[in-house]
Amino acid sequence: MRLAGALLLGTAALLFAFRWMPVSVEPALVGAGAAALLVLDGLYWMHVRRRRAVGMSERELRRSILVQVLGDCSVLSLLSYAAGTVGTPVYILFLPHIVVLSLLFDRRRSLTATLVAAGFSGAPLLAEHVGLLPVVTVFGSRFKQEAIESLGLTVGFTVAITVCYLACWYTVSEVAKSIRKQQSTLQVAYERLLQTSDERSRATLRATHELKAPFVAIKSYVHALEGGYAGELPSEAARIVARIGARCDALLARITALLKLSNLRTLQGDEMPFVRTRLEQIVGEVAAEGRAIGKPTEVEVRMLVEARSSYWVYGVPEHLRTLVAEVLLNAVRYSRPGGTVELELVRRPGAGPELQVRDRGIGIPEENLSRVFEEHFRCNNAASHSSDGSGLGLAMVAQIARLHGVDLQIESALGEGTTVTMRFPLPPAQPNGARGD
Amino acid sequence: MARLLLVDDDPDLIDSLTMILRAHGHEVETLLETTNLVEEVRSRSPDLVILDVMFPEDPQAGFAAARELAKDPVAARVPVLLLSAVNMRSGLAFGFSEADISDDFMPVQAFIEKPVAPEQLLEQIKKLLS
Repeated sequence: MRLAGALLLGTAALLFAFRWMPVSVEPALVGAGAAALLVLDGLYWMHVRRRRAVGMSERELRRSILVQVLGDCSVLSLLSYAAGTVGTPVYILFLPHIVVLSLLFDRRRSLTATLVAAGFSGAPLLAEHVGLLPVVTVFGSRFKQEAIESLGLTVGFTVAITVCYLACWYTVSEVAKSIRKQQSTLQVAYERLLQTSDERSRATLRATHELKAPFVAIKSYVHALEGGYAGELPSEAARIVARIGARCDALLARITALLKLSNLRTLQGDEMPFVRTRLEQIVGEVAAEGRAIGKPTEVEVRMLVEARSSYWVYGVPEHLRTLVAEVLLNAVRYSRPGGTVELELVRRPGAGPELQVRDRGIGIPEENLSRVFEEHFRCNNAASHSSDGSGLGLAMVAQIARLHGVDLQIESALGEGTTVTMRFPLPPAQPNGARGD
Repeated sequence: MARLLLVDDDPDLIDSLTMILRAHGHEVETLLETTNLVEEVRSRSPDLVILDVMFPEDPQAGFAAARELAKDPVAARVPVLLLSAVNMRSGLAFGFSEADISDDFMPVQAFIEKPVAPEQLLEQIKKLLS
């Protein structure tokens, strides 16, 4: 449809140009040609629009385009005659049609249509030569008269134009063929990628199941034993069962963390189902969990946030929860008994919110600061202070920060404590322009 | 108390859960796979189906089975409690949560993460049967 519009404009421009040329043009013929082109392309445009509304197959669309192109060529043939055939550049207007044919159709069909177009373009000159049509001379040149009188020149000119059209067809159809081949290769590669991705997801699910299932079963037996469902346990047996349960929990947590981390590593930010989320709600829920974890060692967790304020961020809520939870868990774990952990949420003008988690715990040696986000890394003082910890928590934090565009900073002094600062990017504006503050 | 149908591929999990559930007066029947589950539910007429998600033949066989049950006019009347070790709280991209319960995707009445504490399981069963 766009092509029809372009061709109309091109023809109109050419006809308009005649207005200022010192030529004698048969206005009735030119007018009839232009009107015919207008009507034809207008009819085509309406037909395609109506058919597309009810669902037009690709085959039908191609057929419509072929009809339009050949219809245009017949009108251009008339225009070519009216403009004086060999004396004018109207032949050029056939070229866009040949390009369209070469791009949209296979080589055999496009070649056939190109030859038909060449026939349309050469027909007026041949008709003038044999006397079927009166000779029209626009520029009054002698060359037109000589061409009409000479069979050799008439045929030669027609052949030359046909060769030009065939050259255009060949060039464009070769390019189209190459593009189609690449398209086909990409399509196959894409389908293989989808299949691989699907297989990988299934394989990951199976691996998850196979890793976790044995520990799930062990833990279920522990529940049954501890609950007395297999009879009363002697105290020593009860103690051992409790230890089995605790080790099982630790293993399950580690497997889950490994799987989580493995999953996070393969994700890219643009494939994440981000939503607008209120960070203060996530921080509040995590703080409550932190208080429960800190209870045995009397570690107090304080949340410092402006009341009744919203701190909007853009991300995957569960990942954001993990981000905050892992940082808080470390702060609580490595605090001294009776210590305090603070979570402070502040606004930044023109930017997303900032969350700081501060503890006065054992701190991190300076030489280890650059390594704390590495997988499986634990500082010696951390391992001495607490046997819990897999060395995976902060690695997950780093991955989640990467996916969410969070600027993550850590400062620490050995024996004095650690501060982790997370600066979130500004969330996209809502459709009404508000950012949700 | 109630007739429960427990469907899970892990015989040890079936053993431990059966022990717990029977101790609380429930009648428990078990299946190790989801094949012909609709017919099994129709013939056994349980009050509740406790269904695992992952099975060796298909990591999401539980979902497919739940959908089949929901389509059958008789089996659809039996509430389904889904059990899984893979859920959204584990932060995995393919995890799911109670929020995914829907007629199309996860047509069940409740979802519990494994390993499940006995009190939590019994509480959930009580809720679904009431």
